[in-house]
Amino acid sequence: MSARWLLSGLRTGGVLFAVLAYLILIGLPGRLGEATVPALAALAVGLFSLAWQRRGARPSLVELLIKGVVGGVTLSTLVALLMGIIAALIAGGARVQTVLDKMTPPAVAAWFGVPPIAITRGELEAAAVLRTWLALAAAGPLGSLLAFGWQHRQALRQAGGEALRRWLVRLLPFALLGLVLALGDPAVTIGGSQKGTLRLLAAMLSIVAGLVAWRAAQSSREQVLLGGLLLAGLAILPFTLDQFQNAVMGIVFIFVMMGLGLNIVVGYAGLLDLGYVAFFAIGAYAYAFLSAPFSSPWFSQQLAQWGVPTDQPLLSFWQAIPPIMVLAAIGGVLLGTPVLRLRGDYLAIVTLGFGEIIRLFMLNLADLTNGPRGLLNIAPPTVFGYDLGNPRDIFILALLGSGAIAFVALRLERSRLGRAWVAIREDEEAAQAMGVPLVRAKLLAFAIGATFAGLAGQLYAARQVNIFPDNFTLFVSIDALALIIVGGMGSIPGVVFGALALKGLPEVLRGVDEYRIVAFAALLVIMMIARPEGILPAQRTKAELSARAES
Amino acid sequence: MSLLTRLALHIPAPVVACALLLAACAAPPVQPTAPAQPAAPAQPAAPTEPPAQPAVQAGVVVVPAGGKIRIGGSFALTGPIPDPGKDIRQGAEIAIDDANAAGGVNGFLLELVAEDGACSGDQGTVVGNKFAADPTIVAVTGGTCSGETFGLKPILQRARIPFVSPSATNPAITSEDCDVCNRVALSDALQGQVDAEFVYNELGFRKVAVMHDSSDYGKGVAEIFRDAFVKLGGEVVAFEGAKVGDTDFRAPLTKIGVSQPELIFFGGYATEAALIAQQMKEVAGLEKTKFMGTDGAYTQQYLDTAGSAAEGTFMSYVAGDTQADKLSAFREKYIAKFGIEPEKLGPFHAQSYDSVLLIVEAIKKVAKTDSAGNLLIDREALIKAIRETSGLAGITGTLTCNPIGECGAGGVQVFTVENGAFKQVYGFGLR
Amino acid sequence: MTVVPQEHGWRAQRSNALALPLLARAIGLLIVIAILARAVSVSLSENYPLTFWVSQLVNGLVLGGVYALVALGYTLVYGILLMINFAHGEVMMVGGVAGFFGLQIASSLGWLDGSAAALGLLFALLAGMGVAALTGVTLERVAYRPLRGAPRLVPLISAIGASLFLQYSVLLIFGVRPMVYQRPALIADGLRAGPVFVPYTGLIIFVTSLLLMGMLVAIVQYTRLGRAMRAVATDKEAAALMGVDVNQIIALTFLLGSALAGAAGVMLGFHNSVIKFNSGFIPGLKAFTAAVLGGIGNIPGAMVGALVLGVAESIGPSALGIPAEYRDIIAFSVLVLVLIFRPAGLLGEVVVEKRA
Repeated sequence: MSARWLLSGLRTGGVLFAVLAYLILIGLPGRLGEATVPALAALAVGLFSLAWQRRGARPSLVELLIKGVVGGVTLSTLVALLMGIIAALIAGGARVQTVLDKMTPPAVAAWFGVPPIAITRGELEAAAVLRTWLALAAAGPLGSLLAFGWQHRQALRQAGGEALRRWLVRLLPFALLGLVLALGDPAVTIGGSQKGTLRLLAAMLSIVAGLVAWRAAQSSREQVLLGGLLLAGLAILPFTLDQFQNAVMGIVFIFVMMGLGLNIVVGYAGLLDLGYVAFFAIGAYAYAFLSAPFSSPWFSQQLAQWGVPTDQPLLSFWQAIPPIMVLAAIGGVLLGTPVLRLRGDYLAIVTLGFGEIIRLFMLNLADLTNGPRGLLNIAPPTVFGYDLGNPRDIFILALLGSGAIAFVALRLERSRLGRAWVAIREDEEAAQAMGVPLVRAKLLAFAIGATFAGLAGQLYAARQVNIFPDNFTLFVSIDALALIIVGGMGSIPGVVFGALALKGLPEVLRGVDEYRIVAFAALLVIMMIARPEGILPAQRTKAELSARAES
Repeated sequence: MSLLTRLALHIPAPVVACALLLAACAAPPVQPTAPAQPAAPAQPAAPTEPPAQPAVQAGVVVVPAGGKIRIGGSFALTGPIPDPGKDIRQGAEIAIDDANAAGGVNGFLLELVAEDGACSGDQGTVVGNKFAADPTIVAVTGGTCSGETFGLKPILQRARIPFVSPSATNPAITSEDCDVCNRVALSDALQGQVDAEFVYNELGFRKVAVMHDSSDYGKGVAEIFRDAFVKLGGEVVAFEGAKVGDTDFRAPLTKIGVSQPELIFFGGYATEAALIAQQMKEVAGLEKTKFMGTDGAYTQQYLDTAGSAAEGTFMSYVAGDTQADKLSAFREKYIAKFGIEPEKLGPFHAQSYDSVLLIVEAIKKVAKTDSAGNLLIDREALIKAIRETSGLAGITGTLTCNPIGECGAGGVQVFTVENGAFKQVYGFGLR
Repeated sequence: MTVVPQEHGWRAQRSNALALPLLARAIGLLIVIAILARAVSVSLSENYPLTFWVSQLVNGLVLGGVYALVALGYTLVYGILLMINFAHGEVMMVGGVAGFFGLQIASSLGWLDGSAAALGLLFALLAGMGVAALTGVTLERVAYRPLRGAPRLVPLISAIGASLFLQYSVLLIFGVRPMVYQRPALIADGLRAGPVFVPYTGLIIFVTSLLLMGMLVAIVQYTRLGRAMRAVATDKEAAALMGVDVNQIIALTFLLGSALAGAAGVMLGFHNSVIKFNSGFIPGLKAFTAAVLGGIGNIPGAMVGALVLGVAESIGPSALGIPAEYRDIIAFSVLVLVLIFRPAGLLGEVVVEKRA
């Protein structure tokens, strides 16, 4: 028995060492400073606890503790070795930082809790090393205790708590909204210099809480009432937040627009489109041409030939909407037609190829699109001469756009076309056998999804003022897809949640901006393993994707 | 209980708390490649003084008593020239330190808000939008690269925030219709011209090929060179474009090799220039061809990447009228603070210092203290004051801004690489 | 009897080449003819000397060799798991990074001076292959194995996440400066035959690629391991019933494919002189295109497809009279056209029957 426990402890300690070493090497000690060791130790406790839990097994406390001690000692020894070697190299004069970019003397010093000069001089006191060693070693048995305690808890969120919980859920969004308003008062100083960040976070959480509350509504009357109140709250937001916060919320809701469009293609119709950014680009570039014709050499040349002045926008923002919708829809049909017969992975790859081809054309047709130099100085939307290009108004426009698109999407979902899409998604051959017009349904999905992306692109171009081919890379398609995946496929609240989590949250955590993408990537993998249907999925999708857990 | 819920509940509160603490402790935003600064995260979350966020009143920035004057900076910290970008940022930081050591402006200290412009238009746009949405930013030093600055230009124009770029050289950055656009670096209109004269007169070449990286900077200076060279009477046999970030240039080089030019002129940044210089040697027809790059490649990064292939290549640079005494004082402070000689990273640190100096001096001219002890900075007055700078003694010479915002002094220098180091052979200040 | 998990929604792709309507096939044929016609007309009119075409061809073959190594990885994994390993390009990049460090170590040990350089180069290659293999196996274990039975979308997203994770982790850990591959004096020059010049690096890359490919084919065709791999690729359940440890075979497949990709990464480092965190992305996509072009799941197909793609990419822009920057568009267009008009690829897909 004991030997197996020892091996298990060793193995877990080793795996955790890999995780902690990674976090150290990507620069967390430099970021967290003195808080690094406590934070990583706390993380280790949690991870140990998770590792020791096995479904169905109920190990004894002794077993857990032995595994915990072995695991903790393994982990802390390996980490101490790693940091010790790095510290020794630095003291020896090696320029460690030229290889391991983040391992600067201050970072290593932060790990050990000593001043940086001690590292450069090689005067690392044994007490400091022992301190960090103990902290991590203790994480092992502490994790064991946590695991043991967890196993013996019964689910205690029973009976009595239920009604209370429901009311809490209903009130939470409004409480958070109140917090947002309160923080807007200059006299209130909670959070100190990070008040603005806190406020933005509260605003985003209030929207999330609102979505959860709306979905948890018990009756349709409650849903309508709650929905109305929440919309009112949402309408107040742009007028209370400051410029920066509005700018963040603006981009979040532009991505909501995109996500809702992709939701139709991927979520409703089940067509895996990895080239979605192409339509976004079409909308953005089309608006750029129409509102800043002077930016494009070829375009302005042609217009000059026809005697049209090129230093003015050709069409206003509002006038440009119908042609852009049509253009995007045509794009959707054009890209959809060749791929009608493809499914699954192949469809994904071909659409990815299309997306990249469009971006490369934007990049290389420099005469038309000005290439990597981009199209500059795009005109903002105006209403009766009033400039709507500022962050607050862009946010409002994005909200209105999202609302309109959500409304259309909801109608579509409940229409015959929506049902046709579900049938196609479930089983294409059966659907065809039942008389569902495959070609028409698929093309409509592409076209409608493209239209929404085009609109989002138009607003995006107006917001950014300048656009470049680099704004429309594959990553944007992945972003939009991730929105839906993480948020919840096929569901509108899911898209909003996804946009807030993936576009809004990184802005809140701006101090750790450089870890944004790795965190996003890790999140994708973790979500797929743990909860592929997303956080707020549509009921049907949840049933589909969770079924695999049972098979 | 699903795995996700368990995950979420098992990463204990301390970690989440630490993350929030981190968000609260984080000092100025986004410093992606900044070396770890333990001082910043280790500080307590709440400063002892009340949080002083400057406010805006109709075109006037109000810095409350006890607050700091915020100057934005767009630096190319990622992208093709991370080292020069870091160097420019560090030069700006020295300037801020000096200004603060001298008492700031009317007793108010200054603060640099550094952002990563990534040497590209799209990132410059992001940075510009960030600054425009922040009513406390008074002026901006940057961008580093021309494309990046073109991204900043329309946005800062609309937001009425003046900027002074230390290193963006494309001629169109300053223009008659832009009152916020200024720079300390010299325009490529000069660099391209002097380079053409060097190749035609000094080297005596008559047949050249021109390459560029399709960026605003690279293509811009390449076009100027091409036009100037043709005007002098030379022949340009090819004008090929690649992209920033490309690593394989054999295809356009092979095409150029067919015409066997005497020199290839490349407008672009360090890594691409180095790779071209190296890959040229493998292409038939280019065995005797020389290579010439421009200021975006005038860095240690070029020498390191090209290795032995850099020997005998040429490089031009828009040098300032460097004042030796001021430079050595600057270098001392730089090395003391950052532990490395500035030249090892890039060539524009002195220009960066001067761009901040210019801004600070202009703020001094227009800032007023009101009765409540707040500092008032009128935006339009600041824009005018920057543009009217005259006779300011900087590290790179006497700074005087002409009516369209060209403020720099100095001239174009041409170097060759000898024994792994740059040696000046032509141009401004040659002894 | 084992229960095969149902794939809801996103079904497996079957090769439906025969059912392609006549109109579509005609369009496809027309496109190919148009491209060829343009190529011929431009080549005849532009009058490039022979050395030009030879140089481009040489370059194309070198590139093709590199792509082939990576394409083999894609094809092996697809054959066994019916999944596209999106992160494979990043495995190549990791190999390139490891090769860079291998070179640094070799250089400090004096293994790059004079003729000892061969030892140093070999060391770098092995370092790259080893680290890449490790990365690939870890990738499979962490990001793919838990998702074995899931609908197609799920492992694809996981792969995309893994790809981004690898890229940006390398960026964070090693910094943003490009890693420069030193070129030892031994291989600095090249062969000259008249006006034609073939650099040694290119030659070495091509030959090494062929050797490694040959080794892989030998393993797959003639060893027990290879037989087990082919068995698992044909029918996982039956192979399991025959006593094959399916998990182990899959891990070994990833190991082999990733080792090859690592070698490709090192070679790319020598060819381009620099490796950056995003050096794997575009070549990865191109290698995937090559695998598809040859017929995904088909080993000789991957090699043929890669060589064809490499040459097409090199010669293409000049032959078609378009600027050199359009190389990437050529690769993507090939991908799109092949998948639309001939998904089975040049050498036909190895059809894996799904037992329902």
